[in-house]
Amino acid sequence: MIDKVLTIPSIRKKIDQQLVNQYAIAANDPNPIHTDPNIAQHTIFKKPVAHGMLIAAVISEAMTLAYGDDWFQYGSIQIKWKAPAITPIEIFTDITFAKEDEVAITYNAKCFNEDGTMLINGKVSLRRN
Amino acid sequence: MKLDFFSLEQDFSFSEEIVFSNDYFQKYNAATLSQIGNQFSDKISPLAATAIILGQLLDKFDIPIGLFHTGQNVDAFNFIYPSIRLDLLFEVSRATIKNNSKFVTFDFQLMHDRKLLISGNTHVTARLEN
Repeated sequence: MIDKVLTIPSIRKKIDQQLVNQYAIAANDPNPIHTDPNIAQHTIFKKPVAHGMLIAAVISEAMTLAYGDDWFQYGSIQIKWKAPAITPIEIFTDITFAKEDEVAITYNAKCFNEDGTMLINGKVSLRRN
Repeated sequence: MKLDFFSLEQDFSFSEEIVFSNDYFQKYNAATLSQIGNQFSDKISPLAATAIILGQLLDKFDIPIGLFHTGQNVDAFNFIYPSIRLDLLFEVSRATIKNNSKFVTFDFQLMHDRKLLISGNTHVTARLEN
């Protein structure tokens, strides 16, 4: 039985274009919307946007710090991106306990930029069986 | 030959093989400025696995200009270890056109010897080409 962690640490980090390029290589992500300004200017964002999964990584990181590798085996994440992350950007997580029962421990998971604009909204949970 | 994103239809499915390299999780942690140390380096986190799964998925397509990711669900069931050949199944569970944009949801399952490691779905959209 996994014990509930009431407070999930908030993580704050700065993301610049160099890091986005590094992430694209690490994840083998071929989408030029993240890395090519000439392509990105023809999109609704007009500039390269950080990978949504790069922003989401802070939520997974926070859950790993709280639950260790139980997160790797029992974790669940359900998120939607609410605004683009145009670099350079500073982001931070806000993960708050929502409910628990015999089946799972669930949190509301959000990520914001330095202006308080919500970038991610969703839920994370850990199964208990 | 690459697939055409705008021609995708619901229920289209395909399978792939995938192997996570030994150092992939460390590279992923470096590229996400993660505070997670090497204590978990013998395993791959579900979101890190999903990141490279998405890269492999996108590589199947001629990527439309402006394609972007709108939502992601991932459920973990078993540990993912590097250097093991894994089976990756994709299925299009939604392919609709609305407001001059195509919306596609890919369901995926990552398996080892028929044991489910993670499953999820990925929501992407792109404006229709003129």
